[in-house]
Amino acid sequence: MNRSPESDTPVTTYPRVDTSRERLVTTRLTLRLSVVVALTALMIGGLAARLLEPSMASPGPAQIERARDALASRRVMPPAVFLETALDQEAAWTLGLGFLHPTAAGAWMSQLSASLRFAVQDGLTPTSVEIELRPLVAASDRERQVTVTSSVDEVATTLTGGRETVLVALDGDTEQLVTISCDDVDSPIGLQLGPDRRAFCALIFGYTINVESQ
Amino acid sequence: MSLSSSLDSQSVSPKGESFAGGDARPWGWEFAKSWWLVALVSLYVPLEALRKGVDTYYDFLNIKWAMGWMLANGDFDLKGIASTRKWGPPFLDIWNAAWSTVGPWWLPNVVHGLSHLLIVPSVFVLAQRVAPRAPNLIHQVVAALAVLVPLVRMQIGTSTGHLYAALPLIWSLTLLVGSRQRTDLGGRNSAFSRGTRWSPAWTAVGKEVWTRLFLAGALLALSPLLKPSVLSTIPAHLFAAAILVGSVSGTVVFALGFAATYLAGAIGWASIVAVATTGSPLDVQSPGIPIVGPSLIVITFVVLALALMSLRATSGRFRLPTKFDAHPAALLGLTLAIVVISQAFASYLRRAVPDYRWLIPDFAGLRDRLFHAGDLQFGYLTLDLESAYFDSSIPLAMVLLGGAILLLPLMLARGGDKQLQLALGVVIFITYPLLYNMWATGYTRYASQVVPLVGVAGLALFSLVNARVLRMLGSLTVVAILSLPMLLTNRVSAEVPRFGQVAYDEPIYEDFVLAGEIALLNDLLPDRATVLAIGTINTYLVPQLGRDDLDWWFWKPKPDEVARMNGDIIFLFNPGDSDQLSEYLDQGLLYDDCSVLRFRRTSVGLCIGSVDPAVRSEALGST
Repeated sequence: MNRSPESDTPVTTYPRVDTSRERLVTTRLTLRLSVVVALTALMIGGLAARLLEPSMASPGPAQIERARDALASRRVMPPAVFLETALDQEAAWTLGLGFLHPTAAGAWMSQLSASLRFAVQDGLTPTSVEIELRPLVAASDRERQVTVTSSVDEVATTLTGGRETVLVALDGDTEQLVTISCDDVDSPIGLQLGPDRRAFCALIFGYTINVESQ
Repeated sequence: MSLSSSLDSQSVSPKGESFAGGDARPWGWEFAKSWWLVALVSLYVPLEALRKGVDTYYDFLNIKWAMGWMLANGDFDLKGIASTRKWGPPFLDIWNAAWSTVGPWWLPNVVHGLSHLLIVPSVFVLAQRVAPRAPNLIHQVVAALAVLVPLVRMQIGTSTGHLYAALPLIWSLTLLVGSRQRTDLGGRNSAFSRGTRWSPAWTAVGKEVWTRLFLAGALLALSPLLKPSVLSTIPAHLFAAAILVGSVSGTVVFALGFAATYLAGAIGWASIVAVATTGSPLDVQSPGIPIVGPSLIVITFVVLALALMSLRATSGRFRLPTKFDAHPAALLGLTLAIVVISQAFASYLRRAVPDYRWLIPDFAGLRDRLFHAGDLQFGYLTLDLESAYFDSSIPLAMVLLGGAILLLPLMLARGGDKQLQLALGVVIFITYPLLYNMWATGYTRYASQVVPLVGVAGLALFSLVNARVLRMLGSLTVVAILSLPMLLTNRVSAEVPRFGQVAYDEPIYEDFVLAGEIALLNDLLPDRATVLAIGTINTYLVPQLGRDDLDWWFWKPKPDEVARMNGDIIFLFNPGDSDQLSEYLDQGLLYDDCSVLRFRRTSVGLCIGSVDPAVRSEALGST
């Protein structure tokens, strides 16, 4: 034990402290320098990032027209095959308002009304469409009223929980708009089926367009 | 070794028992031996940030990216996109937006990862200072656990901001602890001890300590400047700082450092917003500060003037007479005053809480929340966070806080016991914000910036134990409890999901919206169009388009505003929210020719809008 020269307080000293103290100071200096260098680099990078932000040019009328045409062509679907509306499938582009972003299984209809907007190639006459869907229903109450409407037909049905098909007639035009309406929507958490809080009516797996035989 | 001699030893040999050897091995070897785990885990952080894939943090995609981009481009007229948020410090939002906009998906991850890795060495140094007698390996393990516990790991590499806010918090506490130890180096008769006078020898140390305390407060202010929600935990930090500093003057200068820096940053920014939006800086306001307008400006200038005067003071005239400064009664009075102020602030926050899902209605409700470990107790429910998690940090923090509170009377009884003050101050600085925030907002995440420090709090408390075996046992218990989520890997949330990420089970290693998809959307938005953005999850498209000719509206315009709209009008919406379109009909906006772009990761609805001629003519007639 020594005594401090300025006060009479005893101070413990250690015989081997100098080397470790030196190392400690060096380590701290290294650390401080690293932090300063890292922060400076990040700040300079941040400024550079801010200055290098990209900006897209406004489209001209012709460019807009081409984009709309491209969008319309994505809705042209082949007839007589089952068209899946799952993620990454071409038919997903025919899912209109009221559908959430598709999942690997299909597309959830999240509102009381949702629409399918599709077309067939010129020269073909679509006569009907078969839509495959499964309602979200509780274990206790397994009924969901669904109405499918086209320009010439309206089919009301009661779905009871499994995968079902609804057939609705079409007017023969190459471009079609089919609307699906539900009597209600529920969330899986509300029905005690899962943790999802979003409201759903039914999961649409896909559809088949029937055309008039040539 | 007695408590007092242990204090002196920590001042002289702060590296700990295992590092004090004076052998002749090369410095590099010693460095590697003392830092290997810190270095490894530091390296892990940016890699983990990359492994998580593109950052799809909901708030960032939905609000903050666009908000940061717009504010950075001088657009303060946010028209509904969290329009009140523009008043708060947006610095981190601008930073995050810049990195996300400029480059590929991995660029912000790397930047966040490199920033977040600084937590590891910072906590390591703090652990050394707080518990110098603990073995180096314990320091390193605590530093490693700072980023490995699930509540932190789930935020690594994301734009949530709490880990950015954690850094100045750690540095502030490190400076506070260093200041405290420095006063002790000046001798037992320092000004922060009871009943002594300022000695000439103290003046140099005292001046440096004074500056360090101010700087510690200033560093603490960076935390809420980076992450505004941190403001809700500041009273808890100030309470702990009073204990840690151990003097009225020291606490005041710490608070002054905090207030001056925060007000300069926050009110400086809010004044710019006020001038840009209302034409006058006197209309200033700032979230979390219950004063608005000219009074706020006056207070800011007064605080800045006091701060400058205190820093430039060459004598001790700003300090209280020493016999009062560190007197237990004065300290108790100061602490009680802070408690009263913090209680009033908590009441203010509870009245203005932004999200009632988590608010705890009464003290009975608080009990359950204190000791839960995420889904461990409540059956995988997202009890106080959007993500299910299993993390033992908060229950441990509450136990440590309880221990510190039990020891407070002992500290008052032993007024000059600096080791006790330092340890309790550190524990309370780290753990009390969790409790305080839980009561004030109910939302665990708002205090999650202190979670990396819980291990240090454990070391601080057990550093009070003189028996080496017990001290080691205590430290190992802290480490074991913090490691539980990594050991009990059979629990679902031990997989550590990414915090607040929209529903993607697997990481995405590409841009959330591809360049071709953005180009297609761009081609559908005419020059100088008015774009009405409706519903959730579409504002992230704004900065990626980078178009300054477009006039974005994130709220429903009033009929008179609709009547003044010219040029092309586009509705852009989440197709799952398309039922909101009909509400715009009532405002005099018509829509037609709707399409939905089904991109790889997201869907965007588009309709062509027009102004109802009746609404326009009515508006024109009235003018």
